[in-house]
This record gives sequence, structure tokens and C-alpha cells, in this order.
Amino acid sequence: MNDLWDGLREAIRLLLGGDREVWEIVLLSLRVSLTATGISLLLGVPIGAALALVRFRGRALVVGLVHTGMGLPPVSVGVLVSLLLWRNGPLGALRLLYTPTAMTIAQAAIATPIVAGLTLAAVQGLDPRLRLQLVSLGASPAQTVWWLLREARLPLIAAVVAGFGAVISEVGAAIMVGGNIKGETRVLTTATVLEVGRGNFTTAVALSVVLLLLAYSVTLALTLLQQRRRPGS
Amino acid sequence: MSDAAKSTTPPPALLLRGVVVRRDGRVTLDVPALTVEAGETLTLVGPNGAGKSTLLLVAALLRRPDAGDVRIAGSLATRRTERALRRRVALVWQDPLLFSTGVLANAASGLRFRGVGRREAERRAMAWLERFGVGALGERPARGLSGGEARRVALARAFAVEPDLLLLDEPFAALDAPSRAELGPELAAHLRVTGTAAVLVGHDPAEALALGDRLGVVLAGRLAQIGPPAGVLARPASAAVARLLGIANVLPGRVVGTEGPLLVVDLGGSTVRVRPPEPAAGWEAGVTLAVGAARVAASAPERPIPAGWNALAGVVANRALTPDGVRLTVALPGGVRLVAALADSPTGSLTVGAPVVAAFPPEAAHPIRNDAPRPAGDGGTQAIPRR
Repeated sequence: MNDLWDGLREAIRLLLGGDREVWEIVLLSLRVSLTATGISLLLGVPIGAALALVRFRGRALVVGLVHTGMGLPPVSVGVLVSLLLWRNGPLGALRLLYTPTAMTIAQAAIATPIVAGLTLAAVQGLDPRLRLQLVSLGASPAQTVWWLLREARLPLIAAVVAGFGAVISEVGAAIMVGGNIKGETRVLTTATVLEVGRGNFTTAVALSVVLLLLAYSVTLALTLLQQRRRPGS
Repeated sequence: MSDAAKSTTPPPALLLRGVVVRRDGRVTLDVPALTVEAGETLTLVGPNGAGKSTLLLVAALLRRPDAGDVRIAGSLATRRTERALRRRVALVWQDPLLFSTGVLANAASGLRFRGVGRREAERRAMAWLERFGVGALGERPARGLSGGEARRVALARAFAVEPDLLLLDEPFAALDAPSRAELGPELAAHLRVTGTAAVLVGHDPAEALALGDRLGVVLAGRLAQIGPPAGVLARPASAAVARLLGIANVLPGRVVGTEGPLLVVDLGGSTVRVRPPEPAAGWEAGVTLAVGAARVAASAPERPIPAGWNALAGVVANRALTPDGVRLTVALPGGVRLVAALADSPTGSLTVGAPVVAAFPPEAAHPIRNDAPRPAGDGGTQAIPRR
């Protein structure tokens, strides 16, 4: 229990004391995970909306793939991205392995199926006649999709929360494609693993607390956005 | 139609030709021909699942028929033209289906989809909200409205796009009776003032009879009859149409002879004389009589009956109060039951079990051939034969 208390005190000291290394790690974690979440939105929302609204042969197979992807083990994604970015791999020439960009790619791959799957559920959960009503009011296909997404905004924000939660907390892919290089690709999760390995439990607890605070702040911001009263909610 | 007439007459708001819709290999809609003139209101009644809503979806260009043509304001709907033509039609569903935005944004949505600027769209939408008496709700969230308010907003949203054709699927369903009584005439007035053609689907014949210029009866995916409401009501083309319109007495009978212009019909124990809409000769034996309850009189046996009327002696089987008086069910010999709607409550002698004479004039009973529904003569009503 002492480690836990010491860890809490240490976490407060690290944050308030303005420990430069810790703040760099926090900012990198935030940058990588937020960018990855943003990319997963750009890819996942259209994929989810398309799967919800378009009927085509083999749709069930694709939906099955997306649902499987929602539970994708980060380690497997790490292996795949590593293979792609490896010096002799297909994208090796880009020299991205062990960079924050590689971590962002891996985390986007983890979050995209989650966002797509939850978008699919959100849009399918709408009254199917809303779509006909929009079309009958003269909406173009693009206007129809935009208004349907607006109707589904509450579950869509939940999708963003789930996607961000999955990537800010994952360690398997981050450590594999980032390499946990001090000052370059070290993020809160990989740093925590390192400190535990070194036996520095106090520091590990402190970093975990910081990670929790960070995850909570971002999720809280999204929740406030979701739950705020606005016309029509 | 001559060229001169073409130039002055606007094209029909809706024209269907040979429209067939199948679902799972079954024909759910088969309309060889249907025209709704510009500015006309057509009401369609039919039992649930008869195809009324499918017909609306086809007319709204939301469901492509498996065969046949749809024309909106004279233009043929094709894959290429349907989106532009859809913008000349507005559809109001049984549920208001408002979007989770403010009331004004809802009412303005159709105009916004057409590229009208926000300020102009909201100005025009607000005018319609005010016409439907819900202008004060402008900034309220649309999902928090009462059923009647939501319905009015949905109607304002449809009128705001100034459609050539307004399609209404049970627009008064789930409203309480006073709201219905209020909204029906309001809607009719707005349709008349704007000259908007409308197709109104309902399952309540009373509502349909009150609203439409013409009345269509949809049975099993087909237009069983269409014409002016009074004509359809007076001369239903089939027993099923008569029952659907709420005609209380639909009685199977047998033609046993003629008396001048009148048919003599045996109802199974009682014989009545009825005036057919066409010459009395040439009727087959099987016939169904449709007699409105309000055209049947009922009185104690000692009271006089007008000359020439059919007088049928029986006993009172049931007596029910209605807002307009009393409905007597008279049991006749042979198990036939005749319903009479009496304007004023008769004296206490006509209680259940009391002897009674039910009477109606020959022209009050409309005979329907059992062999096949066919054109029911004059008055502009038209029965569409099964193909």
C-alpha cells in the first residue's frame, strides 16, 4: 500500500512540479492518441455509415470483419504494422518504424473498427423511416447521410469515447512500433511498463495515475459535449 | 384533349399507368390507371395491408414500381429525373418523424435541402408554422412536442416546400377526437387556398368522406372503386367496398322477380323491392343489398308506413345510444339483421325484445351484383374490374 500512496504523491509532484520529461510523455501520449482517434473518425464514420445504409452482396461478411476488428488485440496490430514498416518491408522506405507516426498508424488501425462498428450500430438504431423522410423532403444522398449522422450524434460521441479509450490505454502496439525511445516515442503506457520492469513501483503508479487523469479529462470533455443541453436534444 | 385545352389545363399532379409492385413474388399493388388532377384531393381508404401506403411510396418516388409509369406534374419519373421530381412532392407520415433539432429548423429543412439560404428558408417556414398555429414553438426542441403540435409542425414542414403534390399517410392517426376535428378542416382549407393536389390515406371512412374531392377504395392491392364520395357511398361496387365504407346493412339476397323498374329481392324470409341503378331486367339471381342505417326507419307496429316503402316486421335485438340518437338492430325472420339509425330517441316502446317494423324506400337500397364488380352506372363512380 505504501507504493500506492507514494505513487499518488509522486504523481502530484510530477505534474505540479512541472517535471519536463513527464510532461513530454503526457503531451506525446495525447498527441498520438488524439491524432489516431481523429483518423479513425475520418475512416470509421464513413465505413460505418455506408455499412448501415447500403445493401450489397457480402455485406454480412464485412460487418463480421468490422465486429471482429472491434476486439483486435493491439499486439497483433503492432506485429502487422511492424511488418509493413520494417526496413525491408513494403513501406520500409518511408523509415517510419520507431517514430510517433508509426504509433499513430497502429493506434488508428485499432480505433477504426471500433468507431466503424459503433457508427454502424448508431445509424442502424435510427428509425428507418427517418431516411425516407429526409429523401422525401428532397435531401440529396450526401444531405441524407449528414442529417442521419446528426440524428445519431449521441451514440457517435460514445463511439469517439470508445475509440480514444482503446488507444490511450493500449501498450502492445505502442511499444512494438514505437520502441519506447526516451524523448522520442515514450508514452505513458510504455513508460509505465518500463518503470515496473525496473522495479520503480512508485514511479509506475505515478505514471498510471497521470494516465488515468488524462483519459478521464478527455472523456469528460467528450461527455460534457454529449450531454450538454441544446435545442432538440 | 385538344391542343388548346392542353395549353390551359395544368397537367395532372399525379398519373399512374400500369403500376405493379411485387413483394416476395406476391403482387401487393396493381393500379392500371390513376390520375390526381392539379389541386384535387383524393382520399384513399382500405383495410390495413391493402397497399395504400405502398401506393403513397410509389407516388413519392421512394419505391420504384416493378412495372408501370409514374408521372409527377406531367413529367415521367426515371432514375435520372426522380430526385428532381421528388422535390415537387411532399410526404407526411403517420408519425410526424421530426428531426432532433429545433421546431423552426425542422420546418425549414426541406427548403434548406433545396439550397434556399437559412434566413429565407426560416422566414418561409415560420410563415407556415404560424398558419398551422405553432409559430410560437419556433425555438423549442422538436422532440419535446405533444402529438398534436408535432403533427402540425410536420404539416408545416411539408407545406413549406410548396409541393405540387402532397401525400398524407393517416395524418390524423393517434390524435384525440377534438384535435382531429380541428386539424381536418384546417388542412382542407390550406390545400384549397394553395391549390395543392393531395392524396390522403386513411382507414376511417368518415374522415375520408369529409375531406376528399374524390374517394378511392383500395382492396387487396387494387383500386376497387373510385369516384365522388357521395356516389361511391350511394353505389358501392361490391359488398366489400360497402362494408369498408361502414354501410351498416350489407345483406345477401336473391332476385326473385321484377315489378316495373323495381327488383324483387328475397332476403331469406323477407321480401323487399329495390330500385336498381340500371334496368331491372337481366339481373342474375345473386345480389347484395347495401342500405345505410340512416335510411332505415323503425317504429312500433301500429304506426303508419309511407306508401311504397318496404316494411319488415321483427323484434328489437339491440339498442345502442349514439351521439346522434339511437341505433336499433332489428332481428327479422330468417336470421337477417337490419340496423336503423334513428335521429331522435323513440319512446320507450322500442326496447329490446319489443315488436318493431323496420322500413325503407326502394331507392334507399343499392343492389350489388354478386357475380363481378362492374361499372355501377351513372354518377361518375367507376369500378375498376379485376384483370
